[in-house]
Amino acid sequence: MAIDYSEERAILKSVVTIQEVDDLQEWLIAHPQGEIDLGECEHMHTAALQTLTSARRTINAWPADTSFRGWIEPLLAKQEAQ
Amino acid sequence: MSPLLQQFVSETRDLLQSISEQLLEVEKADDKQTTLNELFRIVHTLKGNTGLFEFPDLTRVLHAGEDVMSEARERPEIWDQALTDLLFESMDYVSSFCDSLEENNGEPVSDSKAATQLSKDLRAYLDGNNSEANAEATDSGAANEPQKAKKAATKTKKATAQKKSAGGSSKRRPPRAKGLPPEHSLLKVLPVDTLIEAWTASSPDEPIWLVKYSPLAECFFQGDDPLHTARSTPGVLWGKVENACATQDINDLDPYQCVSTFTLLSNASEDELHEHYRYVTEQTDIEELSSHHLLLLSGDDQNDALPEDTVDALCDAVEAIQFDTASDIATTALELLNKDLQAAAALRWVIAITSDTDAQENEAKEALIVVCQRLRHNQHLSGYRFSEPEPDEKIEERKEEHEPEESRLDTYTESTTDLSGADTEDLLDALVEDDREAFEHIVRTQGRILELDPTVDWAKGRLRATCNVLIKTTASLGLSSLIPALEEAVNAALSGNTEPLADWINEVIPGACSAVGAGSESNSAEDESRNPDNLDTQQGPEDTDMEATDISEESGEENPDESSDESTADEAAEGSSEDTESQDTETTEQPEIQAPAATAPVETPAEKQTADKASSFKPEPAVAPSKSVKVDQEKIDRLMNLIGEMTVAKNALPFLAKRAEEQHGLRDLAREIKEQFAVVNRIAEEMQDSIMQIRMMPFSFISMRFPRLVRDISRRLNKDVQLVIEGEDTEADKNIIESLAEPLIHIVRNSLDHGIEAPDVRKQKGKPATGSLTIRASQEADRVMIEIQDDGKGIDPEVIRNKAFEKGLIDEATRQRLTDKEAVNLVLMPGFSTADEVSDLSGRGVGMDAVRSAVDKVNGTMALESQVDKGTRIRISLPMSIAVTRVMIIESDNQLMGIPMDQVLETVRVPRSDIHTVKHVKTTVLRDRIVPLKSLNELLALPAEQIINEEEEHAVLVARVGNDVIGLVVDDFRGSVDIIQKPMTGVLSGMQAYSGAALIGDGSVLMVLNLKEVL
Repeated sequence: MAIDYSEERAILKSVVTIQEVDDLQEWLIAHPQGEIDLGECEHMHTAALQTLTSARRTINAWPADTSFRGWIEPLLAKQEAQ
Repeated sequence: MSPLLQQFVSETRDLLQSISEQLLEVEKADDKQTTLNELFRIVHTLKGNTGLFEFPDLTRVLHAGEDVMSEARERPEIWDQALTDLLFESMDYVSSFCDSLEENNGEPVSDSKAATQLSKDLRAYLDGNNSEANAEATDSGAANEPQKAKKAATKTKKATAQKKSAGGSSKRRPPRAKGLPPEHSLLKVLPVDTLIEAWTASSPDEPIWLVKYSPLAECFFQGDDPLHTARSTPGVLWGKVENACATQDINDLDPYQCVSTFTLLSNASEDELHEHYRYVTEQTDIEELSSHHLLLLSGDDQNDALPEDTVDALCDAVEAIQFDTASDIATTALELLNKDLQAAAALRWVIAITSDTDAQENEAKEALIVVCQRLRHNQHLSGYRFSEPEPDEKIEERKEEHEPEESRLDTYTESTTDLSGADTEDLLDALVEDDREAFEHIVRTQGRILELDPTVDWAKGRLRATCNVLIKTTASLGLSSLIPALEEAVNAALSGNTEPLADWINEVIPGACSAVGAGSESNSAEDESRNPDNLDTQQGPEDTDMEATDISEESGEENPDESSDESTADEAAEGSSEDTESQDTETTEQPEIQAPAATAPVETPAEKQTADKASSFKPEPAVAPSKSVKVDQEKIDRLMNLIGEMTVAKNALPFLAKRAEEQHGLRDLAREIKEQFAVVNRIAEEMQDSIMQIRMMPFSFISMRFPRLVRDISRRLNKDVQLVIEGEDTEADKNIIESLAEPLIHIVRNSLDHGIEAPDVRKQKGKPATGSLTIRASQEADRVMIEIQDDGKGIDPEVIRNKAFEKGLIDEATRQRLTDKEAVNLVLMPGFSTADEVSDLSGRGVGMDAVRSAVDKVNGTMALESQVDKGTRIRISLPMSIAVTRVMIIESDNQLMGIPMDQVLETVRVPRSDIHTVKHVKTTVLRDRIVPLKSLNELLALPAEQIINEEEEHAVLVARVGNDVIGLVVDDFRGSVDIIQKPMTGVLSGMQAYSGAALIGDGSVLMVLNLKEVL
């Protein structure tokens, strides 16, 4: 599992595959205030990105890989601002 | 070759056939739409099939073809003969590709160059027509004029870029604009840091690529991760993901539908990119940009951010190639400046470019000039005349290459500097045609917006948007002399009096605005209605609406998104002219629908096309399971052989019955065997019939290639020919049908080439200009008749006679004796047609003997009738099946032999006294005709005399061999029988006297005589 869930945050690690999207979505629905930690995330499947975009959550930590961060930040940060 | 590949090849062949039918149909059809739809569908399927394998060349050609068809579907008027030719050519390419696939066992030898050329040609067609279409679109003057104009500009730019690369040298050179390259709406939103980074990473000589990738919604199910694909793009400089998920509730989200789109910049080679996206070529749009496209000033707009003298000093330094000075000026000025301003971006560019040690001096200067021009433009300063950075031939060349851009730049600098005194009309005249048109449309539209109801809630925002559009448009075209008046008018308008603005518009474009200054007082209920969701939806189009966004900075009080919202609403309102209210509600309620609609204007044409395609093809009509099964011919042949053996085996039963009765005296048993035989016989015969049916093919199998053939040849010869094909469902054995293909093509070609005259000649002769060629297939008893008839100039028998005589094929007597009909048939004689004669003659006869021998091979006959100036008719008669042959069994010297029934005219008993010897040849007179007689024993070198019956009569079988009738003297006749003839194999195959052998019921072998060889 590339995602560690706790009550207040989901920590995404290494590569998040599409198999984990269902769980992620469930967790996001169950934890409307849950935050996201992408610090150790190297890649996430497009489906996971879409789910996160839709969830509009605070991102605690951005991926260390700046290029990856560059791809996803505009999409996820926008929600954070609101 | 794998079974999958085999199936692919066979399906491709079928699809190609349908394509070529449809192509011809399109040319004829009145209602092109249906046919084009069908055509598109087939090409789409075909292209989809190629996706299973790795044949990039094939896919490329088909993809181009598909795009063209898709375009044609929307605008059938682009269809013309040249396009049909091109598409035919492409289909030929696909067909030859399949051939090479089969020949090389799945490893095609593909002609990459041809593929590239074809796809370029096809695409050139697309682009050429596209720009026209855009001109039209701009004319139609709809609501979102600015976007459209911009779109048209982008498209044209793209088209020219592609044309250049198509026609240009093999070393691709990006279209380097000497002036300001158009600002790319997608790039414009990028932070300047990203742009600088990308610029530094790319070499000025290499193009960079803007890739737009819109994966299919269901792509996750195909194991795709588009984000990964995008991220792993070779040479990626920058990229972003867009999706509308933010507006969607997480509870309702279907995460397995891909709704993301990707945009990225790459400096990899075009090939690398195509390779990377080869599986999703349909969903990607790769646009070529030069590094100058990156030189954009992103950030906030502010007119007077930099003092004019600073800018001038900067430009001077650039002009003098004092990069250090320029860099210093920039660094100093930057310290004083808000980093978010566009001016600051320009300064950062200057610093970045001057400190880029890799860049050549002239390249750097070119880039700096672009930056400076943009900066001046942005600061509303007049243009600065820079000298050419690189005064050698290369530049000259380039200048010529890029004439349009060049002239645009000239206009730009001149109009900004010198035209202050000229009146509006002259100013506009000085603009490039495209710019002028776009400008007029934009102003006109704004005029119309001004005319709208000023009492609505959003009137103020709308007015702002209008003002902003006008100011920006005017400034961007360098019409600086118009600006002061405009600014005044705008100020007045914003403070409530739109009259001066309307006047200004009318001054520029007379009659564009009829609005009377009715001050919009309605700024009260301005902001309440916007909820965050709504805003969010509208974020998509923010790059389209740069103008609209900018105004908020000027007024400095509104959220940029908000005014963007307003202007979009305005433009929508302009489209529907009213009912903006409901549109607003819609927006709020159904954000996910509104979002794509709002982004639509930014989409490039290709993208849009892809989207259209995707949407129109998602509900692929369910294909009914095909009722036919493809079976290898060998399997049917095996069935055929088995039923042959079965027939023989069953035919042994009567012999058995006979033996039971005669030798063992078991009459009952014999009867039972006979009864049993009747049952087996019936089943066997039915089975044989059914198997024959399997082998039967309709005539259409070969006739369907004629329309294309006739079209191609007649086009090449400039003749008008109407082809009529009748009896396409006439069936015959596969072998027969296939053996007919070549000869028929030959005949048709002859008819077109030498038979049917050119239209003007035909008119002179009083015939309709359009010649007609009829191919008719019909069934007569157990034979298939094929008739090819034209109404051309026919064959002159006199010419044929003389030629045949000269050639020594006939003697003087024959020449005199031959009737016209017989003379015409001389063209079928072997040796008659050789090249030199053909050119003298009407030409008929090219390879006619080849045709004839092909027909002979399947036991067919052919005859030719012709009348000068009336036309020619060729009749071919063929057996329906060659699998089962009916033979006459004869006996000679105690041996049984078969003679094919279709050669047998009659069997007679000739009294010995009626046989006379004429010139050492035995003859007899039958039905007033002299028939030469030949003894079979003699012919076969059997040492026995032919046996005579008690009445001293010879058994004579009268047979037709070619055009001759001869009497074959045999010992006795034994009736006729159906046999399955097997060709002679092994050492026997050299024996020409027999055409084959067959087993008969008693298990003995029957040799079938080949009379032609025997005589």
